Amino acid sequence: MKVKLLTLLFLSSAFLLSACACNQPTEEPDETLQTNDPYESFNRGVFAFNMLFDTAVLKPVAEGYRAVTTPVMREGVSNFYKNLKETRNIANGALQGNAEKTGNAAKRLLANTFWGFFGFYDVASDMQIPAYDNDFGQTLAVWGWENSDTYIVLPFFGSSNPRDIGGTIGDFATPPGLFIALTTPWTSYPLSIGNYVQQREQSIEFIENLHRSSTDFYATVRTMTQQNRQKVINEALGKTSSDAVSDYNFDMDFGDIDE
Amino acid sequence: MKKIISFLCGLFLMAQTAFGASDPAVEFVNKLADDVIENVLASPAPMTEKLTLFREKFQSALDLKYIGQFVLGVYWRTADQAQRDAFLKAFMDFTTKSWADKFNMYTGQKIVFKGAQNAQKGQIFVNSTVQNNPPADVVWRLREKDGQYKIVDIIVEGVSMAMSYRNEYAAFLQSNNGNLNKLTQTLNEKSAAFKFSDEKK
Repeated sequence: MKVKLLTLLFLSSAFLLSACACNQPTEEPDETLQTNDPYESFNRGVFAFNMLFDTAVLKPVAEGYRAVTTPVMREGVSNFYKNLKETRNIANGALQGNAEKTGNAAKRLLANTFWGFFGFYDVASDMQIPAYDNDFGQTLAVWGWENSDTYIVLPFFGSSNPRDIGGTIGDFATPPGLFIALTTPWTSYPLSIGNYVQQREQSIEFIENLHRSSTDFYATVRTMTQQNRQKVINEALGKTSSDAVSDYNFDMDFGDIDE
Repeated sequence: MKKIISFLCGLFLMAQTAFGASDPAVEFVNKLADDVIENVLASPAPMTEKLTLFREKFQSALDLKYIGQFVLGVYWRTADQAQRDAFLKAFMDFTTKSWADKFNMYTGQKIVFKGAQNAQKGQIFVNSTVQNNPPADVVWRLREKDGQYKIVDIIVEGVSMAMSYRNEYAAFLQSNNGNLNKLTQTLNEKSAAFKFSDEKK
């Protein structure tokens, strides 16, 4: 008993010491610059390829899609894809053991499929059923893979990290990715490409603004996608808003500010 | 006795709501947002006029000097006074135009305020949601300066403006041998390239 208690004490003091070490200010405190990008030159190469593909193919197609559709039509298409993704939300809600998220996603799927003309109209939101964007990367985080911030840029898929690469693969193995893959190529390709295009259409102005506003587009996209994903993961882990706020509670003071 | 208790409870509730409604930090951002939406974003005035108004309001509401020093990080310390002044001037002009360009995408969304939380060094976070589809969480970080609130960061869906600029400029400076003048020059070029027209997208 005595030995056990001693071990416990020793372990806890070791833990405390290591915790202290973490909180010690380093020589140059720069917690905001933890980009964790060991493969930067490789990533920049893939990023350049993605940009080239975007300029040459994706953006022109998205603009063409915008030219031949009305906003109401586009909203219908966007709702249709969101409704398909409710199957993913149900699957991941269940895998995470989250009854509330699973239930709401199932309600949304039923309401929108039957009363919303196969999802083209979002009646579920009118009925105040909350929507979540769940994916297998979030499931992996809930299962314990909480921290994964090594930056990796994937061709076509863009910003990711080891956990979320697992997530992307998992998304192909769960609905709707699974259903879509099981249909004929005549259905699966247009469906997948259509989604890619309609999503790109929604961010035409946003990405143009980012281009105009950035001095290093790769670095801008890297930090923004990392920060945004962290928020999504925090929410999936059920961290309250005060926890989320502590993530932004970095020190902005240098102590030598010119007023 | 019952009456007294219920009266006391009522008083307590009143005090609570009064306190909630008049949280000065929330009030500050709420007023500012209403003002900018009503008098700039939703205004039918010509773009040049709106841009001047926006500049005025944006630059008085945000502590761009403070943000500018934060985003340079270690490079701020090594810069001389002339370099600091030139960078801050470029940064202020550039962020104003960049955010005017962002706000140009505004199409009538409402903002709901959800209260305030304390941040370190007496700074305050004001939480809000922009009722977009899907809704977007926006956190405003405030600092008190001469008895007045100033915005020092805007965090949209987890993305901090200050942290993003800081990361981006660190990357730019790293690939340009720490040449701050080059960054200032690039910001000035970027500022000049913004085009604002009355055409509604």
